[in-house]
This record gives sequence, structure tokens and C-alpha cells, in this order.
Amino acid sequence: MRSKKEGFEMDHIKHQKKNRIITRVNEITTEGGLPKTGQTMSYQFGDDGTYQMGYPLGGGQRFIDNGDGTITDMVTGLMWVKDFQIAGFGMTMYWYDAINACENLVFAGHDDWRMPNINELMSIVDHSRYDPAWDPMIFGYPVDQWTPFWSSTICAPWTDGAWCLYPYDGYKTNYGRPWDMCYVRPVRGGQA
Amino acid sequence: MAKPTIEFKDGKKIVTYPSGEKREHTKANLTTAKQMFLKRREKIDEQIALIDDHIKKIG
Repeated sequence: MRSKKEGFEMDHIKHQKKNRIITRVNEITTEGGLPKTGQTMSYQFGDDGTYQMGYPLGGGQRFIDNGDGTITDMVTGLMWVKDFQIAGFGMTMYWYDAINACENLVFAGHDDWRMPNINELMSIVDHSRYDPAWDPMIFGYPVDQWTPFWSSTICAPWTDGAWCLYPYDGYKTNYGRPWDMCYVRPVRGGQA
Repeated sequence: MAKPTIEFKDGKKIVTYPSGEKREHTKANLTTAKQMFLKRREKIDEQIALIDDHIKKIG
């Protein structure tokens, strides 16, 4: 059993840690930052669910449905195609074809759509969900949970591959650009 | 060190985490999770075979 003295010391350490976190927040000011992962459940003190770090702060609404088949992410500033099947992306494609299809897309009055990079693609993953690992009310259901979504980012140690993401749980992996076929969700905007 | 406890009862796997949270997993849940890893392994094996082929062709 823990003595009263030990308990006091533990509380003291926790207090110091809290101060350190507050200092850090005060020292770094930024207009943006990493999005929350979506995990709100805490399985053990110190895990993601404990701190729930990231944007939006408070319980602010993150995704805005623009009502024209697009979604705006208030954290990253990116605009996503809401239902990629309606935009004509309901089939798997080779990476090269997927890039071209995004570049040639004219949708919701915009013609500057592109294939998302891997960081952008991962930014919409909600780690509190699976099957799919995003809010289906916002981003719809994937056609096939076992086929990943392409990103425009090449795998550095194996340039035959591009990074992609499984819609089932947000697992990041790489598929072969010349021979594998995946889905794609076009994006536009963001920081250049 | 606090660790989760696992028990198997009522046809389920029940995990109790240090925070007190409980999570129940049915046979169907676990089978789907297994399927997920099998699919990933299948793809990884495929990529390894392709790279092996390319290494062989380099000589």
C-alpha cells in the first residue's frame, strides 16, 4: 500500500508535469497544428484519450458540409470530395490514372482538384472508428474496406510504391504504382 | 505496472483496462481483425515476391 508521503510525492510530480505542459502551450503560438486523432476514450492515464491533443480546440466543429458534394476541413483548410463515387471515382485505378483523373476533375465548380499527399489523407482518419476509419456521415462508406486509397506521396526506399491508406482502420501502407489498383479521393486547397 | 485484464466468458473476450474501461470482443469482431492482418500479409508477401524477382533479374 502506498504511504501518505509517497502519495504526496506522486501528486507533486503530476503538478510539475501539468505546469510543463501549460508552459509549452504558452511558448508556442501557431495558426494551425495537427488535428486531433479522434480518440476520446482513455484506456490508461497518459494515453491519447487522456490529453486529446490537437485541433480543433474545445469541441469545435471540424468538418463543414458545403452542400455541393464537398467538405471543408476547418483545421487543415482542405476541401474534400464528399462522396467520391458521385464524383466519378467509384472504381479502383492505377496510380498514374488516378493522378490524371484527379487533375482533370471538374467538380462543384472547381477545377484544381488533385490527389492528396499521405499526410493530407491521414488527416481525415478518426482513430476512434473503424470500418471505416472516418465519419461515414461526412465522408461516406468505402466501396471495399480492404482496398486502400492512393496518396500522391512516393515511398522513399521503394519508389515503385506510393503510400496509401486502408479505409478499414487508417493503416498506412504502400502499394505498387505500376501494378496495383486503389481508390482515390480528390482534394483541393491547403497550404502551399 | 497496471495491465489490462482479459477474461473469456459468455462467448466473448472481455478486456478491462487500467482506467476501468471495458471492451467486449465477439468472435465476429476478432475474425474481422484477423482477416485484416491476413489481407495485409498477403499484400506484403506479394510485394516481397516482386522485389525478389527484381533482385534475381539484376543478377
